Amino acid sequence: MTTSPARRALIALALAPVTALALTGCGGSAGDDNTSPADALAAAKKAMDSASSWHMTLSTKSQPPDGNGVLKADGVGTHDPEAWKGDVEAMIKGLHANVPITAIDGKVYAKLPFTLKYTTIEPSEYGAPDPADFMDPDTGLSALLTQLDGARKTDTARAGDQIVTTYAGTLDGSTVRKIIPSASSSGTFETTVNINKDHQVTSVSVTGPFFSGDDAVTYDLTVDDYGQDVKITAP
Amino acid sequence: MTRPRGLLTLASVAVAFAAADTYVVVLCLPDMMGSVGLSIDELQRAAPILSGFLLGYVAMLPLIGRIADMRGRLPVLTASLVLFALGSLVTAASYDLGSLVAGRFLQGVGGGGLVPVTLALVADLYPVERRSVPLGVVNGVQEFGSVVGPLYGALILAIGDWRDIFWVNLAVAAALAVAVDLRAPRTGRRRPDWIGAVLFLALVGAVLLVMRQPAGLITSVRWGAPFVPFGESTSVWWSPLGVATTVLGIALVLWLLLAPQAYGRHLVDLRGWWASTRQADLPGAVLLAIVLGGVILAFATADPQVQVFSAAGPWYLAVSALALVGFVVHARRTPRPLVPRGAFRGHPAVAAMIVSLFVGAALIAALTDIPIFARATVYSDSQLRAALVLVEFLVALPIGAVAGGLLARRLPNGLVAAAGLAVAAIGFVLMAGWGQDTLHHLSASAVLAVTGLGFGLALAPVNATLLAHTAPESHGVTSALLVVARMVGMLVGISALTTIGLRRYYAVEADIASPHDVCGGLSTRCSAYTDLLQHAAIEQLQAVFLGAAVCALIGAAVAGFGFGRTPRTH
Repeated sequence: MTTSPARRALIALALAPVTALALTGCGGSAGDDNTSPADALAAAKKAMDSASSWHMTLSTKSQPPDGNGVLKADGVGTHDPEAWKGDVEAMIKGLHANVPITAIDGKVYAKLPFTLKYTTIEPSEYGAPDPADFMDPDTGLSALLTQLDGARKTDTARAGDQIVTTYAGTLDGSTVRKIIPSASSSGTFETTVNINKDHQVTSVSVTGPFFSGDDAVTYDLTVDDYGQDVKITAP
Repeated sequence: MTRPRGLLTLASVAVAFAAADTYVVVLCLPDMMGSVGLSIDELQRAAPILSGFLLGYVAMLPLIGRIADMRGRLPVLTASLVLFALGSLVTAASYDLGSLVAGRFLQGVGGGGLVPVTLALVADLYPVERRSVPLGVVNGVQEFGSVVGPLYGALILAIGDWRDIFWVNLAVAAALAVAVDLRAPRTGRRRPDWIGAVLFLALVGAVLLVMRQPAGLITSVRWGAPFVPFGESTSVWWSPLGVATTVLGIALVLWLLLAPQAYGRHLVDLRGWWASTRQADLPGAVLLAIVLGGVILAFATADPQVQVFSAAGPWYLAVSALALVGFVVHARRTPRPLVPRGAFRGHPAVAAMIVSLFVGAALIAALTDIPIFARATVYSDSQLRAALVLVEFLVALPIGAVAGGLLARRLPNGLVAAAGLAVAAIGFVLMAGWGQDTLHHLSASAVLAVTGLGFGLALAPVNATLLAHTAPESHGVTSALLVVARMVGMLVGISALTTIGLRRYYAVEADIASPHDVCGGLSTRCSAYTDLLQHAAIEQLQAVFLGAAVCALIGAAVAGFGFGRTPRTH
């Protein structure tokens, strides 16, 4: 049996995607520069604080052992005014609930499950932070960056189409508690921060005793869409 | 044929397995909802996780019998198992509601193919007069499968999470497919289709990579690039790897269609399958699937806080109605329609189908919402214990089924079925009155057991009525259609009852007071307010139970007045 051109073409066609796959696997190089970890983190904090707004997600894949806790927060924050708007996915008595939240002017408006209107709530009573506080340069998310103990550059990684530099260190429980109130204040939290070429934080991963008990739980924070024109108003 | 009984045993195991899978999700529905980001007050959007499977099952069940007549039992059995395995793979790897429902649909298509082939195997192996016992056994294993389904799920959940159920499914279905395929007679010695096999394995690997997005690879500077979506897109499929996977799929199909025989026995004889599918009234099956798919979508896209249907809802229903007209017209014209003309000549046979429909609707409400009720009230920390609440119901069901068969020998079918369904309706009315801690009391177990018993009582008389009023030569088809009717009832019931139940809840409750008012203005969270929220969650389930009671009552009425006097055979 000889292989006719048509058959060869057919085999080539059949194998084309495999070749394409192999080819797309290559490429991409790390942008290496010689800034110190402290400088890089300080620059990243400045980028966060000076942006008029950013979009963030904060999430964990772990299940809170007693069936109550925050699983995910996905929303946009602005600095002027200090405000946050998005969805919080909480586990309440073992059931998942999506709660739309708007936080502005020191008030937190929530549309609780099975209700039709927004009501104001005191988030600390729900074991949750006021998400508008995430935006505070002194106690919010950006403050975590400069409070990282023993910060060191560890690796380069990929975040979508960007190549990022990874910094690792630890955070105090008392610092982490301002973001996730259920965190143990005496605990130490292993933290990695990814920063892109534009000195913007793309993601932060914090691992430690977030829930009661000593089990290590990881919360992942992603930050993107820096400086979009966003207006948040009370509902 | 060699060792035909062994093959029938394998096929029966497969049928039980697929039946188990219909209900396996009822236990882990709350967690599956969480995994794809659905909130507890979005029950209506979760309904397609169940109804997607039923849709695949219902669309394929009538179609496959014909294909099996043309292509032989073994290849269809193997193909059904392979489809079921692929569906399990997609479900296990799902990353959002769409992929989850797609996986469940594919599982249903495979599962729906198993029943008619197995029934046809019985017809091949036994002469007419000796068929009733093996046919009964096949029906029996199917019922058995649906009873053990939730328990099988519970067993795996005790050691793993809901995805593990579907990984196990994948392994079992693949093993069964190989076992069946090994029994196929080998004609001639042709080279195996290596290129087809390599393409297939590469496709499965690529699909897994795209769907699971392994963290180690996507964060890798070296390997992550192909995973990045093009431009502003966020779809995992619109990326170099996603597109390569699609191209791989197209290449596999082209290879199977066009590759010359000289390259060996085709992995799948796609051309042949397509030809037999077209002969087996494909348009009829597609029209039926559109009718039901439209109904599912109409309810699933609803926002019950506003109304029962979304803005698009009436359009989905309009498409369904058009497809239904098309289906009826098509059935009158085509030489071999999906539902044989004159299969249901007697009124009691039609009544049996209608009763089956309402039994399905009420049954699915019990199976889905009782575990969710348990989760919302007493077992918030354990999905396993919440699931095990169903045990009383599931154990009572087959006991009732046997009792129903015995009773129907002495009493009219209509009376037994109507009494059983009336008992089930009373059970549901009692459930609609359940509160926060009812499940801790023994009375709840009694209600569950009595409801299961009531459903069980109705099963045998309904089957017997159908068989007594249809021609013996069409018993296979009509029995299958009775199962289809029940599935359609489940599929419409789960969608309609949840949506209508939720709508009713919002219409009556309108809104719960703000936490400030409930907690006396000092605080925004107090046990009174949490109780109020929990009470609201319970109330939506109570509304569903009431809907189920209405369905059971309608079934009871139709059985009582519609079954007539059963002709005595001796």
